[in-house]
Amino acid sequence: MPWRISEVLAEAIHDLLALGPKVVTAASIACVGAAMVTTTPIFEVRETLESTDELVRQGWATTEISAERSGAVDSASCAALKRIEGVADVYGVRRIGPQRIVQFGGRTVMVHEIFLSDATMAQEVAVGGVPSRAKVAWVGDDIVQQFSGVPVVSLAAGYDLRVVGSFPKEFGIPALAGSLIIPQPWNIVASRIDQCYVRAQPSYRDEALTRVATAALRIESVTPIVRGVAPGLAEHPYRSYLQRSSRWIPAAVGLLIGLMWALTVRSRSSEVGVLLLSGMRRTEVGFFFTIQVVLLAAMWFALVVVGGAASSQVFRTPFILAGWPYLLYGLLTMISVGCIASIVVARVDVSLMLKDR
Amino acid sequence: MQLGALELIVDQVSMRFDNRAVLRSISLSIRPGEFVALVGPSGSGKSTLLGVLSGLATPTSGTALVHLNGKPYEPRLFCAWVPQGGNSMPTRTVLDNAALGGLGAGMDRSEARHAAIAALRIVGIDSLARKRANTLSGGELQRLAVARAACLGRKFVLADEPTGALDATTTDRVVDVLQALARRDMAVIVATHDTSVAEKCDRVLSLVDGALRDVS
Repeated sequence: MPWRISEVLAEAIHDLLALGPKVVTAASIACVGAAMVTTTPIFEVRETLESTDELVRQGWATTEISAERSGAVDSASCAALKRIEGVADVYGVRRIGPQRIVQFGGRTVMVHEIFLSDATMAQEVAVGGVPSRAKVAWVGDDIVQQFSGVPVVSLAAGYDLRVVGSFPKEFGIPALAGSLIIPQPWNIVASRIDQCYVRAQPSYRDEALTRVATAALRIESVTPIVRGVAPGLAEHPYRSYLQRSSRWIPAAVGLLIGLMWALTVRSRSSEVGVLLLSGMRRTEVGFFFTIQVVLLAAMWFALVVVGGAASSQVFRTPFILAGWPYLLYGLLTMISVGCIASIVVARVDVSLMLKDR
Repeated sequence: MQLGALELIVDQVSMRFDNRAVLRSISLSIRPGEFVALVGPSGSGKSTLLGVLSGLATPTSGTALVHLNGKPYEPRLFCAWVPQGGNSMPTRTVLDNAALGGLGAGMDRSEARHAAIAALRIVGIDSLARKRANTLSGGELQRLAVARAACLGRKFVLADEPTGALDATTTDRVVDVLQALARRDMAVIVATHDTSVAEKCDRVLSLVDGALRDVS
Protein backbone atom coordinates (compact mmCIF):
# COMPACT_ATOMS: atom_id res chain seq x y z
CA MET A 1 0.00 0.00 0.00
CA PRO A 2 1.53 3.37 -0.96
CA TRP A 3 2.02 6.30 1.36
CA ARG A 4 -0.63 8.97 1.53
CA ILE A 5 0.65 12.20 -0.01
CA SER A 6 -0.63 14.17 2.97
CA GLU A 7 1.41 11.93 5.25
CA VAL A 8 4.54 12.38 3.12
CA LEU A 9 4.03 16.14 3.43
CA ALA A 10 3.38 15.97 7.15
CA GLU A 11 6.39 13.71 7.69
CA ALA A 12 8.65 16.04 5.71
CA ILE A 13 7.61 19.01 7.87
CA HIS A 14 7.88 16.93 11.02
CA ASP A 15 11.34 15.78 10.02
CA LEU A 16 12.46 19.32 9.23
CA LEU A 17 11.23 20.54 12.58
CA ALA A 18 13.15 17.71 14.24
CA LEU A 19 16.29 19.20 12.75
CA GLY A 20 15.24 22.44 14.49
CA PRO A 21 18.19 24.24 16.03
CA LYS A 22 20.67 23.47 13.24
CA VAL A 23 18.35 24.71 10.54
CA VAL A 24 17.41 27.86 12.41
CA THR A 25 21.05 28.66 13.17
CA ALA A 26 22.12 28.17 9.56
CA ALA A 27 19.18 30.19 8.29
CA SER A 28 19.85 32.98 10.79
CA ILE A 29 23.46 33.29 9.68
CA ALA A 30 22.37 33.41 6.06
CA CYS A 31 19.70 35.94 7.05
CA VAL A 32 22.14 38.33 8.66
CA GLY A 33 24.46 38.13 5.66
CA ALA A 34 21.73 38.69 3.15
CA ALA A 35 20.13 41.47 5.21
CA MET A 36 23.41 43.33 5.28
CA VAL A 37 23.83 42.88 1.56
CA THR A 38 20.37 44.18 0.80
CA THR A 39 20.88 47.27 2.90
CA THR A 40 24.48 47.94 1.94
CA PRO A 41 23.83 49.98 -1.22
CA ILE A 42 22.25 52.67 0.92
CA PHE A 43 25.53 53.37 2.60
CA GLU A 44 27.24 53.46 -0.75
CA VAL A 45 24.76 55.98 -2.04
CA ARG A 46 25.28 58.18 0.97
CA GLU A 47 28.90 58.32 0.11
CA THR A 48 28.16 59.08 -3.50
CA LEU A 49 25.75 61.82 -2.71
CA GLU A 50 28.39 63.73 -0.84
CA SER A 51 29.87 64.64 -4.15
CA THR A 52 27.66 65.63 -7.01
CA ASP A 53 30.65 65.76 -9.27
CA GLU A 54 31.20 62.13 -8.51
CA LEU A 55 27.62 61.44 -9.47
CA VAL A 56 28.08 63.09 -12.76
CA ARG A 57 31.31 61.31 -13.46
CA GLN A 58 29.65 58.03 -12.80
CA GLY A 59 26.65 58.84 -14.88
CA TRP A 60 23.17 59.49 -13.68
CA ALA A 61 19.78 58.18 -14.57
CA THR A 62 21.09 56.14 -17.43
CA THR A 63 18.89 53.47 -15.99
CA GLU A 64 15.84 54.21 -13.99
CA ILE A 65 14.09 51.38 -12.24
CA SER A 66 10.45 52.05 -11.82
CA ALA A 67 9.62 50.45 -8.53
CA GLU A 68 6.82 52.04 -6.67
CA ARG A 69 6.91 50.84 -3.16
CA SER A 70 4.08 49.20 -1.42
CA GLY A 71 3.40 46.95 1.50
CA ALA A 72 4.29 47.05 5.12
CA VAL A 73 7.83 45.81 4.70
CA ASP A 74 9.14 49.27 4.29
CA SER A 75 8.20 50.49 7.72
CA ALA A 76 11.36 52.56 8.15
CA SER A 77 10.69 54.34 4.93
CA CYS A 78 7.06 54.88 5.84
CA ALA A 79 8.08 56.42 9.13
CA ALA A 80 10.50 58.71 7.37
CA LEU A 81 7.85 59.67 4.87
CA LYS A 82 5.45 60.62 7.64
CA ARG A 83 8.04 62.85 9.13
CA ILE A 84 8.51 64.58 5.82
CA GLU A 85 4.78 64.93 5.48
CA GLY A 86 4.70 66.59 8.87
CA VAL A 87 7.29 69.04 7.70
CA ALA A 88 5.51 69.38 4.40
CA ASP A 89 2.36 70.61 6.09
CA VAL A 90 4.32 73.43 7.58
CA TYR A 91 6.49 74.33 4.67
CA GLY A 92 4.17 74.08 1.77
CA VAL A 93 4.74 70.76 0.12
CA ARG A 94 1.41 69.93 -1.39
CA ARG A 95 1.90 66.25 -1.92
CA ILE A 96 4.64 63.73 -1.85
CA GLY A 97 4.55 61.40 -4.78
CA PRO A 98 5.34 57.73 -4.81
CA GLN A 99 8.77 56.65 -3.84
CA ARG A 100 10.96 55.29 -6.57
CA ILE A 101 14.20 53.48 -6.76
CA VAL A 102 16.67 55.11 -9.06
CA GLN A 103 20.02 53.85 -10.16
CA PHE A 104 22.86 56.31 -9.94
CA GLY A 105 25.52 54.80 -12.10
CA GLY A 106 25.06 51.33 -10.76
CA ARG A 107 24.19 52.51 -7.29
CA THR A 108 20.78 52.83 -5.83
CA VAL A 109 18.94 55.69 -4.21
CA MET A 110 15.36 56.33 -3.28
CA VAL A 111 13.67 59.29 -4.79
CA HIS A 112 10.44 60.99 -3.89
CA GLU A 113 8.68 63.30 -6.20
CA ILE A 114 7.49 66.31 -4.28
CA PHE A 115 4.69 68.50 -5.46
CA LEU A 116 5.00 71.95 -4.03
CA SER A 117 2.04 73.88 -2.73
CA ASP A 118 0.46 76.55 -4.83
CA ALA A 119 1.87 79.26 -2.61
CA THR A 120 5.35 77.88 -2.91
CA MET A 121 4.96 77.49 -6.63
CA ALA A 122 3.88 81.07 -6.90
CA GLN A 123 6.94 82.09 -5.01
CA GLU A 124 9.09 79.95 -7.26
CA VAL A 125 7.64 81.49 -10.33
CA ALA A 126 8.21 84.89 -8.84
CA VAL A 127 11.86 84.24 -8.26
CA GLY A 128 12.09 82.54 -11.59
CA GLY A 129 12.84 79.15 -12.84
CA VAL A 130 12.15 76.52 -10.28
CA PRO A 131 10.40 73.48 -11.65
CA SER A 132 6.99 72.93 -10.16
CA ARG A 133 8.00 69.41 -9.35
CA ALA A 134 11.18 68.27 -7.83
CA LYS A 135 12.56 64.93 -7.10
CA VAL A 136 14.15 64.88 -3.72
CA ALA A 137 16.64 62.25 -2.92
CA TRP A 138 17.70 61.45 0.56
CA VAL A 139 19.49 58.76 2.37
CA GLY A 140 18.13 57.35 5.56
CA ASP A 141 17.01 59.41 8.50
CA ASP A 142 20.12 61.54 8.55
CA ILE A 143 19.01 63.80 5.81
CA VAL A 144 15.44 63.63 6.94
CA GLN A 145 16.68 65.09 10.17
CA GLN A 146 18.26 67.92 8.29
CA PHE A 147 15.08 68.32 6.37
CA SER A 148 13.21 68.82 9.60
CA GLY A 149 12.91 72.34 10.86
CA VAL A 150 14.26 73.91 7.71
CA PRO A 151 12.02 75.71 5.25
CA VAL A 152 11.63 73.99 1.94
CA VAL A 153 12.95 76.91 -0.01
CA SER A 154 15.97 77.07 2.19
CA LEU A 155 16.47 73.42 1.74
CA ALA A 156 16.38 73.84 -1.95
CA ALA A 157 18.94 76.54 -1.53
CA GLY A 158 21.41 74.22 -0.04
CA TYR A 159 22.21 72.42 3.13
CA ASP A 160 23.02 68.86 2.56
CA LEU A 161 20.07 67.90 0.50
CA ARG A 162 20.50 67.36 -3.18
CA VAL A 163 17.63 68.42 -5.32
CA VAL A 164 17.15 66.62 -8.54
CA GLY A 165 14.94 68.49 -10.89
CA SER A 166 13.01 66.84 -13.64
CA PHE A 167 11.89 68.76 -16.64
CA PRO A 168 8.48 70.28 -16.08
CA LYS A 169 5.80 69.29 -18.54
CA GLU A 170 5.35 72.77 -19.84
CA PHE A 171 8.69 72.54 -21.59
CA GLY A 172 7.43 69.70 -23.63
CA ILE A 173 10.38 67.50 -22.86
CA PRO A 174 9.64 63.81 -22.57
CA ALA A 175 10.14 62.65 -19.03
CA LEU A 176 12.83 60.21 -19.97
CA ALA A 177 14.71 62.63 -22.14
CA GLY A 178 16.99 63.70 -19.36
CA SER A 179 17.25 65.07 -15.92
CA LEU A 180 19.04 67.82 -14.15
CA ILE A 181 21.21 67.48 -11.17
CA ILE A 182 21.49 70.78 -9.50
CA PRO A 183 24.19 70.87 -6.90
CA GLN A 184 24.39 73.15 -3.95
CA PRO A 185 24.69 75.99 -3.45
CA TRP A 186 21.52 76.64 -5.31
CA ASN A 187 20.15 79.93 -4.24
CA ILE A 188 16.60 80.15 -5.41
CA VAL A 189 15.92 83.52 -3.93
CA ALA A 190 18.77 85.07 -5.83
CA SER A 191 17.96 82.98 -8.88
CA ARG A 192 21.56 82.15 -9.26
CA ILE A 193 22.86 78.76 -10.14
CA ASP A 194 26.54 78.23 -9.80
CA GLN A 195 26.74 75.06 -11.71
CA CYS A 196 24.34 72.84 -13.51
CA TYR A 197 24.80 69.32 -14.65
CA VAL A 198 22.70 67.81 -17.32
CA ARG A 199 22.42 64.15 -17.77
CA ALA A 200 20.59 62.93 -20.79
CA GLN A 201 20.30 60.00 -23.06
CA PRO A 202 23.25 59.66 -25.40
CA SER A 203 21.17 60.62 -28.41
CA TYR A 204 20.81 64.17 -27.13
CA ARG A 205 23.32 66.52 -28.61
CA ASP A 206 24.99 69.25 -26.64
CA GLU A 207 23.04 72.02 -28.32
CA ALA A 208 19.77 70.37 -27.43
CA LEU A 209 20.86 69.90 -23.87
CA THR A 210 21.93 73.49 -23.62
CA ARG A 211 18.60 74.58 -24.98
CA VAL A 212 16.76 72.39 -22.51
CA ALA A 213 18.79 73.57 -19.57
CA THR A 214 18.42 77.22 -20.35
CA ALA A 215 14.71 76.78 -20.91
CA ALA A 216 14.20 74.78 -17.77
CA LEU A 217 16.14 77.13 -15.57
CA ARG A 218 15.30 80.27 -17.46
CA ILE A 219 18.85 81.40 -17.55
CA GLU A 220 20.84 83.08 -20.26
CA SER A 221 23.55 80.57 -20.81
CA VAL A 222 25.25 77.55 -19.41
CA THR A 223 28.85 76.53 -19.19
CA PRO A 224 30.02 74.03 -21.79
CA ILE A 225 28.47 70.69 -21.22
CA VAL A 226 30.76 67.92 -20.11
CA ARG A 227 29.37 64.51 -20.78
CA GLY A 228 29.61 61.98 -18.00
CA VAL A 229 31.29 58.69 -18.58
CA ALA A 230 29.52 55.39 -18.51
CA PRO A 231 28.83 53.96 -15.06
CA GLY A 232 31.00 50.95 -15.72
CA LEU A 233 33.98 53.22 -16.33
CA ALA A 234 33.71 55.08 -13.09
CA GLU A 235 36.76 56.48 -11.45
CA HIS A 236 37.08 53.60 -9.05
CA PRO A 237 36.60 50.51 -11.14
CA TYR A 238 37.70 48.16 -8.39
CA ARG A 239 35.19 49.56 -5.92
CA SER A 240 32.54 49.64 -8.58
CA TYR A 241 33.29 46.02 -9.37
CA LEU A 242 32.96 45.06 -5.73
CA GLN A 243 29.68 46.91 -5.43
CA ARG A 244 28.28 45.18 -8.44
CA SER A 245 29.54 41.83 -7.26
CA SER A 246 28.03 42.28 -3.83
CA ARG A 247 24.59 42.26 -5.34
CA TRP A 248 25.05 38.65 -6.25
CA ILE A 249 25.86 37.68 -2.69
CA PRO A 250 22.25 36.58 -2.01
CA ALA A 251 22.52 34.27 -5.01
CA ALA A 252 25.88 33.04 -3.78
CA VAL A 253 24.41 32.47 -0.32
CA GLY A 254 21.49 30.65 -1.95
CA LEU A 255 23.93 28.49 -3.91
CA LEU A 256 25.89 27.78 -0.76
CA ILE A 257 22.81 26.76 1.18
CA GLY A 258 21.61 24.69 -1.78
CA LEU A 259 24.94 22.88 -1.97
CA MET A 260 24.96 22.37 1.77
CA TRP A 261 21.52 20.89 1.44
CA ALA A 262 22.75 18.65 -1.37
CA LEU A 263 25.57 17.36 0.83
CA THR A 264 23.22 16.95 3.77
CA VAL A 265 20.72 14.96 1.77
CA ARG A 266 23.46 12.82 0.25
CA SER A 267 24.86 12.03 3.67
CA ARG A 268 21.39 11.07 4.82
CA SER A 269 21.31 8.13 2.45
CA SER A 270 20.71 5.68 5.29
CA GLU A 271 17.60 7.71 6.13
CA VAL A 272 16.55 7.44 2.51
CA GLY A 273 16.94 3.71 2.98
CA VAL A 274 14.73 3.83 6.06
CA LEU A 275 12.06 5.71 4.15
CA LEU A 276 12.22 3.22 1.30
CA LEU A 277 12.02 0.34 3.77
CA SER A 278 9.00 2.05 5.29
CA GLY A 279 7.17 1.65 2.05
CA MET A 280 7.89 5.00 0.37
CA ARG A 281 8.43 4.94 -3.36
CA ARG A 282 11.42 6.73 -4.82
CA THR A 283 9.26 9.54 -6.17
CA GLU A 284 7.81 10.01 -2.72
CA VAL A 285 11.27 10.13 -1.17
CA GLY A 286 12.22 12.81 -3.72
CA PHE A 287 9.03 14.68 -2.85
CA PHE A 288 9.84 14.32 0.86
CA PHE A 289 13.19 16.08 0.51
CA THR A 290 11.93 18.59 -2.06
CA ILE A 291 9.28 19.75 0.39
CA GLN A 292 11.97 20.21 2.98
CA VAL A 293 14.23 22.30 0.76
CA VAL A 294 11.32 24.50 -0.35
CA LEU A 295 10.31 25.05 3.27
CA LEU A 296 13.90 25.76 4.18
CA ALA A 297 14.16 28.29 1.35
CA ALA A 298 10.89 29.93 2.41
CA MET A 299 12.19 30.16 5.96
CA TRP A 300 15.45 31.69 4.73
CA PHE A 301 13.58 34.20 2.59
CA ALA A 302 11.25 35.18 5.42
CA LEU A 303 14.15 35.63 7.79
CA VAL A 304 16.01 37.78 5.28
CA VAL A 305 12.97 39.99 4.81
CA VAL A 306 12.35 40.31 8.52
CA GLY A 307 16.08 40.73 9.20
CA GLY A 308 16.37 43.34 6.47
CA ALA A 309 13.41 45.29 7.83
CA ALA A 310 14.78 45.04 11.36
CA SER A 311 18.27 46.11 10.34
CA SER A 312 16.79 49.03 8.45
CA GLN A 313 15.32 50.15 11.76
CA VAL A 314 18.55 49.64 13.64
CA PHE A 315 20.76 51.32 11.07
CA ARG A 316 18.14 53.89 10.10
CA THR A 317 18.36 52.94 6.50
CA PRO A 318 15.39 52.19 4.31
CA PHE A 319 15.12 48.54 3.32
CA ILE A 320 15.48 48.97 -0.38
CA LEU A 321 13.58 47.11 -2.99
CA ALA A 322 16.45 47.10 -5.41
CA GLY A 323 18.07 44.17 -3.62
CA TRP A 324 15.01 41.98 -4.01
CA PRO A 325 15.62 40.63 -7.49
CA TYR A 326 18.99 39.42 -6.28
CA LEU A 327 17.37 37.96 -3.20
CA LEU A 328 14.93 36.12 -5.43
CA TYR A 329 17.79 34.82 -7.55
CA GLY A 330 19.26 33.47 -4.35
CA LEU A 331 15.98 31.88 -3.37
CA LEU A 332 15.52 30.24 -6.75
CA THR A 333 19.13 29.08 -6.83
CA MET A 334 18.73 27.46 -3.45
CA ILE A 335 15.49 25.73 -4.37
CA SER A 336 16.87 24.55 -7.72
CA VAL A 337 20.07 23.10 -6.30
CA GLY A 338 18.21 21.57 -3.37
CA CYS A 339 15.53 20.02 -5.56
CA ILE A 340 18.09 18.51 -7.90
CA ALA A 341 19.87 17.04 -4.88
CA SER A 342 16.60 15.70 -3.54
CA ILE A 343 15.70 14.04 -6.81
CA VAL A 344 19.19 12.62 -7.33
CA VAL A 345 19.37 11.15 -3.86
CA ALA A 346 16.09 9.36 -4.35
CA ARG A 347 17.73 7.42 -7.18
CA VAL A 348 20.60 6.07 -5.13
CA ASP A 349 20.91 2.29 -5.15
CA VAL A 350 18.93 1.06 -2.19
CA SER A 351 21.40 -1.73 -1.47
CA LEU A 352 23.98 0.94 -0.63
CA MET A 353 21.61 2.49 1.86
CA LEU A 354 20.89 -0.71 3.70
CA LYS A 355 24.43 -1.08 4.89
CA ASP A 356 25.30 0.38 8.26
CA ARG A 357 27.07 3.71 7.91
CA MET B 1 -5.79 -7.95 7.16
CA GLN B 2 -6.55 -11.64 6.63
CA LEU B 3 -4.60 -13.23 3.84
CA GLY B 4 -5.11 -16.60 2.25
CA ALA B 5 -2.39 -19.19 1.75
CA LEU B 6 0.93 -17.36 1.45
CA GLU B 7 4.26 -18.74 0.38
CA LEU B 8 7.54 -17.18 -0.67
CA ILE B 9 8.88 -19.39 -3.43
CA VAL B 10 12.39 -19.09 -4.81
CA ASP B 11 12.89 -21.08 -7.99
CA GLN B 12 16.33 -21.75 -9.46
CA VAL B 13 17.70 -18.31 -8.62
CA SER B 14 21.23 -17.54 -9.77
CA MET B 15 23.08 -14.28 -9.50
CA ARG B 16 26.38 -13.14 -10.90
CA PHE B 17 28.46 -10.07 -10.11
CA ASP B 18 31.35 -9.30 -12.46
CA ASN B 19 31.33 -12.82 -13.89
CA ARG B 20 31.48 -14.25 -10.37
CA ALA B 21 28.63 -16.54 -9.33
CA VAL B 22 27.25 -15.24 -6.02
CA LEU B 23 24.12 -17.42 -5.94
CA ARG B 24 23.87 -20.78 -7.72
CA SER B 25 20.51 -22.31 -8.62
CA ILE B 26 18.84 -21.69 -5.31
CA SER B 27 15.35 -23.01 -4.68
CA LEU B 28 13.39 -22.81 -1.45
CA SER B 29 10.01 -21.94 -0.03
CA ILE B 30 9.08 -20.19 3.20
CA ARG B 31 5.68 -19.85 4.87
CA PRO B 32 4.43 -17.42 7.53
CA GLY B 33 5.15 -18.63 11.05
CA GLU B 34 8.59 -19.95 10.18
CA PHE B 35 11.71 -18.66 11.90
CA VAL B 36 14.53 -19.27 9.46
CA ALA B 37 18.27 -18.73 9.86
CA LEU B 38 20.42 -18.14 6.81
CA VAL B 39 23.96 -18.91 7.86
CA GLY B 40 27.28 -18.82 6.11
CA PRO B 41 30.64 -17.10 6.22
CA SER B 42 31.10 -13.45 5.23
CA GLY B 43 30.82 -13.00 1.49
CA SER B 44 28.85 -16.22 1.00
CA GLY B 45 25.89 -14.32 -0.50
CA LYS B 46 23.52 -14.07 2.50
CA SER B 47 22.69 -10.38 2.00
CA THR B 48 22.35 -10.88 -1.74
CA LEU B 49 19.88 -13.72 -1.21
CA LEU B 50 17.91 -11.57 1.24
CA GLY B 51 17.89 -8.82 -1.39
CA VAL B 52 16.45 -11.26 -3.92
CA LEU B 53 13.87 -12.54 -1.42
CA SER B 54 12.73 -8.99 -0.70
CA GLY B 55 12.58 -7.99 -4.35
CA LEU B 56 15.18 -5.26 -3.89
CA ALA B 57 17.66 -7.17 -6.06
CA THR B 58 16.87 -8.79 -9.39
CA PRO B 59 18.40 -12.23 -9.97
CA THR B 60 20.38 -13.02 -13.11
CA SER B 61 18.12 -16.02 -13.66
CA GLY B 62 15.25 -17.67 -11.82
CA THR B 63 12.38 -16.12 -9.89
CA ALA B 64 11.54 -15.14 -6.34
CA LEU B 65 7.83 -14.51 -5.92
CA VAL B 66 5.25 -14.51 -3.20
CA HIS B 67 2.32 -16.76 -4.01
CA LEU B 68 -1.00 -15.75 -2.53
CA ASN B 69 -3.74 -18.31 -3.11
CA GLY B 70 -1.72 -19.65 -6.01
CA LYS B 71 -1.24 -16.26 -7.70
CA PRO B 72 2.31 -14.85 -7.89
CA TYR B 73 3.12 -11.32 -6.65
CA GLU B 74 6.20 -9.12 -6.38
CA PRO B 75 7.83 -9.97 -3.03
CA ARG B 76 8.51 -6.35 -2.04
CA LEU B 77 4.80 -5.89 -1.36
CA PHE B 78 4.95 -8.55 1.33
CA CYS B 79 8.42 -8.09 2.78
CA ALA B 80 9.80 -5.86 5.53
CA TRP B 81 13.53 -5.42 5.97
CA VAL B 82 15.48 -5.07 9.19
CA PRO B 83 18.78 -3.56 8.02
CA GLN B 84 22.18 -4.34 9.39
CA GLY B 85 22.92 -1.79 12.11
CA GLY B 86 19.25 -0.86 12.48
CA ASN B 87 19.25 2.33 10.41
CA SER B 88 16.97 5.05 11.68
CA MET B 89 16.04 8.68 11.25
CA PRO B 90 18.47 9.93 13.90
CA THR B 91 16.87 13.27 14.74
CA ARG B 92 13.41 11.77 15.17
CA THR B 93 12.01 10.17 18.28
CA VAL B 94 11.82 6.43 18.68
CA LEU B 95 8.06 6.62 18.40
CA ASP B 96 8.25 8.61 15.15
CA ASN B 97 10.68 6.11 13.71
CA ALA B 98 8.50 3.15 14.56
CA ALA B 99 5.40 4.94 13.27
CA LEU B 100 6.98 5.23 9.81
CA GLY B 101 6.15 1.56 9.36
CA GLY B 102 2.49 2.16 10.11
CA LEU B 103 2.33 5.15 7.77
CA GLY B 104 3.85 2.93 5.08
CA ALA B 105 1.11 0.42 5.76
CA GLY B 106 -1.46 3.09 4.88
CA MET B 107 -2.52 3.96 8.41
CA ASP B 108 -3.30 7.53 9.38
CA ARG B 109 -0.99 9.26 11.83
CA SER B 110 -2.96 8.40 14.94
CA GLU B 111 -3.32 4.72 14.00
CA ALA B 112 0.35 4.55 13.10
CA ARG B 113 1.36 5.91 16.49
CA HIS B 114 -0.86 3.44 18.31
CA ALA B 115 0.59 0.58 16.27
CA ALA B 116 4.09 1.89 16.95
CA ILE B 117 3.51 1.98 20.71
CA ALA B 118 2.27 -1.62 20.59
CA ALA B 119 5.29 -2.69 18.53
CA LEU B 120 7.71 -0.89 20.82
CA ARG B 121 6.13 -2.72 23.74
CA ILE B 122 6.69 -6.04 21.99
CA VAL B 123 10.37 -5.28 21.41
CA GLY B 124 10.72 -3.89 24.94
CA ILE B 125 11.71 -0.30 24.27
CA ASP B 126 8.38 1.44 24.79
CA SER B 127 9.92 3.36 27.71
CA LEU B 128 12.26 5.05 25.20
CA ALA B 129 9.47 6.22 22.92
CA ARG B 130 10.13 9.93 23.49
CA LYS B 131 13.90 9.69 23.12
CA ARG B 132 15.68 10.63 19.92
CA ALA B 133 16.93 7.71 17.88
CA ASN B 134 20.48 9.04 17.92
CA THR B 135 20.63 8.52 21.67
CA LEU B 136 19.92 4.77 21.45
CA SER B 137 22.46 2.00 21.86
CA GLY B 138 23.15 -0.52 19.07
CA GLY B 139 20.82 -3.11 20.54
CA GLU B 140 18.02 -0.60 21.05
CA LEU B 141 18.42 0.61 17.48
CA GLN B 142 18.19 -2.93 16.23
CA ARG B 143 15.01 -3.48 18.20
CA LEU B 144 13.62 -0.22 16.88
CA ALA B 145 14.24 -1.48 13.34
CA VAL B 146 12.34 -4.65 14.20
CA ALA B 147 9.46 -2.61 15.64
CA ARG B 148 9.32 -0.51 12.46
CA ALA B 149 9.27 -3.63 10.34
CA ALA B 150 6.53 -5.11 12.52
CA CYS B 151 4.42 -1.95 12.13
CA LEU B 152 4.69 -2.25 8.39
CA GLY B 153 2.46 -5.31 8.70
CA ARG B 154 4.23 -7.37 6.06
CA LYS B 155 4.12 -11.13 6.35
CA PHE B 156 7.82 -11.71 5.64
CA VAL B 157 10.46 -10.03 7.80
CA LEU B 158 14.02 -10.19 6.47
CA ALA B 159 16.75 -9.32 8.97
CA ASP B 160 20.31 -8.83 7.77
CA GLU B 161 22.82 -9.58 10.53
CA PRO B 162 20.54 -8.08 13.19
CA THR B 163 22.89 -9.11 15.98
CA GLY B 164 26.16 -8.47 14.19
CA ALA B 165 27.53 -5.91 16.62
CA LEU B 166 25.69 -6.82 19.79
CA ASP B 167 26.75 -8.45 23.02
CA ALA B 168 25.34 -11.82 24.09
CA THR B 169 22.58 -10.41 26.31
CA THR B 170 21.35 -7.94 23.73
CA THR B 171 21.60 -10.60 21.03
CA ASP B 172 19.27 -12.81 23.05
CA ARG B 173 16.78 -9.97 23.42
CA VAL B 174 16.72 -9.18 19.71
CA VAL B 175 16.37 -12.85 18.79
CA ASP B 176 13.52 -13.22 21.28
CA VAL B 177 11.76 -10.31 19.61
CA LEU B 178 12.18 -11.84 16.16
CA GLN B 179 10.95 -15.15 17.50
CA ALA B 180 7.90 -13.36 18.91
CA LEU B 181 7.15 -11.97 15.46
CA ALA B 182 7.33 -15.47 13.99
CA ARG B 183 4.79 -16.59 16.57
CA ARG B 184 2.50 -13.83 15.34
CA ASP B 185 2.22 -15.65 12.04
CA MET B 186 5.02 -13.84 10.25
CA ALA B 187 7.91 -15.50 8.50
CA VAL B 188 11.21 -14.24 9.88
CA ILE B 189 14.37 -14.89 7.88
CA VAL B 190 17.59 -13.95 9.64
CA ALA B 191 20.93 -13.76 7.87
CA THR B 192 23.60 -14.42 10.49
CA HIS B 193 26.97 -15.99 11.08
CA ASP B 194 26.24 -16.33 14.79
CA THR B 195 25.57 -19.99 15.59
CA SER B 196 23.79 -19.12 18.84
CA VAL B 197 21.20 -17.24 16.80
CA ALA B 198 20.84 -20.08 14.32
CA GLU B 199 20.25 -22.57 17.13
CA LYS B 200 17.10 -20.72 18.17
CA CYS B 201 15.59 -20.85 14.70
CA ASP B 202 13.15 -23.49 13.47
CA ARG B 203 15.05 -23.98 10.28
CA VAL B 204 18.63 -23.33 9.25
CA LEU B 205 19.73 -22.75 5.67
CA SER B 206 23.42 -22.82 5.01
CA LEU B 207 24.90 -20.86 2.17
CA VAL B 208 28.36 -21.88 1.03
CA ASP B 209 29.90 -20.43 -2.12
CA GLY B 210 26.47 -19.40 -3.34
CA ALA B 211 24.91 -22.85 -2.97
CA LEU B 212 22.14 -23.44 -0.45
CA ARG B 213 21.82 -26.42 1.88
CA ASP B 214 18.99 -27.03 4.31
CA VAL B 215 20.69 -28.23 7.50
CA SER B 216 17.79 -27.92 9.94
